[in-house]
Amino acid sequence: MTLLKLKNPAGKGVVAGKFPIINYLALSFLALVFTIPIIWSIKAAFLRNGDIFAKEIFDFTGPWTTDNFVVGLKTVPFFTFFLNSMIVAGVTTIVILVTSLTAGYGFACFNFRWKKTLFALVIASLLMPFQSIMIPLFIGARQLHLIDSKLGIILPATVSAFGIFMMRQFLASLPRELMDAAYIDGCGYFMAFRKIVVPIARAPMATLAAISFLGNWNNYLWPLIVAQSEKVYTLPIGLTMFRGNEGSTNYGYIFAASFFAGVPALLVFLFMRRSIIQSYALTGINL
Amino acid sequence: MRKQSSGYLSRRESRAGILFVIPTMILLLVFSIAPIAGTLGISFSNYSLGVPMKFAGLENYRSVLGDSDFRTALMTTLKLGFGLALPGTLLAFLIAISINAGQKTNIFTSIFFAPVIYPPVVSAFIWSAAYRGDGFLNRILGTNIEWLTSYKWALFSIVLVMLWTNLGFYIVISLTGLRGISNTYYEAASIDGANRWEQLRWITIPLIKPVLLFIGIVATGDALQVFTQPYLLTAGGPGSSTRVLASLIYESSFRSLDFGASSTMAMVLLALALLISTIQFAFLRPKE
Repeated sequence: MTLLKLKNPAGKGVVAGKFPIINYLALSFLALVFTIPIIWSIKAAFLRNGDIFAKEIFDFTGPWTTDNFVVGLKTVPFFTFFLNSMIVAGVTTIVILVTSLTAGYGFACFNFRWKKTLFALVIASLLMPFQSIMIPLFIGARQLHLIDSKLGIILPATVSAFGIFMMRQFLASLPRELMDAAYIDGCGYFMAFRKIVVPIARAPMATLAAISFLGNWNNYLWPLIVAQSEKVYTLPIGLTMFRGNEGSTNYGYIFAASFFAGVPALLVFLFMRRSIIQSYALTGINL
Repeated sequence: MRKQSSGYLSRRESRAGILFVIPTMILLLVFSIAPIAGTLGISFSNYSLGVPMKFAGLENYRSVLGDSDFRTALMTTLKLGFGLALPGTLLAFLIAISINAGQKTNIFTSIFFAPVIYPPVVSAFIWSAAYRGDGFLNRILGTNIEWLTSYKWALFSIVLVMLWTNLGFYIVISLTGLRGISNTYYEAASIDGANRWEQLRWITIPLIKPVLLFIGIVATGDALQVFTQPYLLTAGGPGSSTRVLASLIYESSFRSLDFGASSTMAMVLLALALLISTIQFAFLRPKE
């Protein structure tokens, strides 16, 4: 009942004003329910394993400990996992920015043969589930001896159909006169790319960087297939090493390690939340 | 897009365009177009690691479509899809209306959206802790449910995790839809003396309906591709009651190393995904 309220276009305060407080409270309650899992896991990272399940959810009295970080993270090569994830997510993001912006510029600002066909291929790959390409990717990686290497994890992620699509849409929305003026001033196409396209696309590039970083930072399936030894494990794969047999899992250690997987993702989201949300809303694609 | 002017310029232009597109397109060809062709090819052959590939015609398709594991996984995936789509759409709509009515729109949207970008492996750990006998879910509800190990609850538990993960995305789509409804409708209705309920019933709901259908389809597509959380939470169990298509394909490729059958299943998954995308595009087209 309280949820069913419209945004009143003419005067928000008048129509929505009947139960604004109840609406606000209901929404806050739901938002709290949504955040409980994440808050609970961060709390658990600072509790002794025995206390984690003994305490009530909203019991924030401690006793707190940093043992899960100091001791727990040393039970596996945690730093290696973290570094690998940073390298994988960092490198793929940088390469994706380059490949997306150049191709986006080509598709948006030039005419050439097969352009429509090539762009259709981009759209097609945007829609393909990863399961439908992973077997040949694995076979190829195996033939090139890229299994169990960071390069093997990185390579297939260096091109993003979403990135190309996003950059094309952005650059195609710019007024044509902008590019024409540059060409008339004697700018070559590459000069125009460097002097105009790169600076002007800064905002969508930041969004794409955030989305690519999150996607590769969180990715589980492809690293699971490629990484086979601890030295190439990324954080999501390494985290599963903390799982013991039934009953022997130390959740304190798990959530200490999860802290370092979850918090970077949340930080990226915090800084770029508006543009990230907007690109999800506009494309309707769950990346 | 530029018009072709003189022959010289357009040839120069065309060469530049190709130069900008080619490196990326080669990567795309190698890492997604060629693999699709590969999967299609392997789906028509008997192929496993170390064994030479042998053409098998439609044999894989016949055996996969008749395979009870595959049928079960397909059914489970569809159940997950509907289980996610119905409450997902409804909740997203209600919460979006509520967010839209109040202040602090951005904060609420961000909070609901955060699980979408949260690492799925971490969320799997959190939920596996939450679903324990002494986990916080049983504690809040005062129940003693075996969330992940009983046939009755396991799939529901997976739906709940996916709902938590994806609802923020569906809310954002709903909000976009709500904001796309022109103010003039509401103004006209106000002048005619329509109250809020009547405005909701006769303006918002009819105009938002396509958006809600769109969310339902998106949710079905999400269920089609979900892998990490079901795989880590239940590993398909108990029995194979939570084994989704994506998990089955992974297991039959990289545990049983049966690439032929796995590729066939992957092609079925691809067909379903493309069907869903086609419906999505049909929804997106007529608007605007």
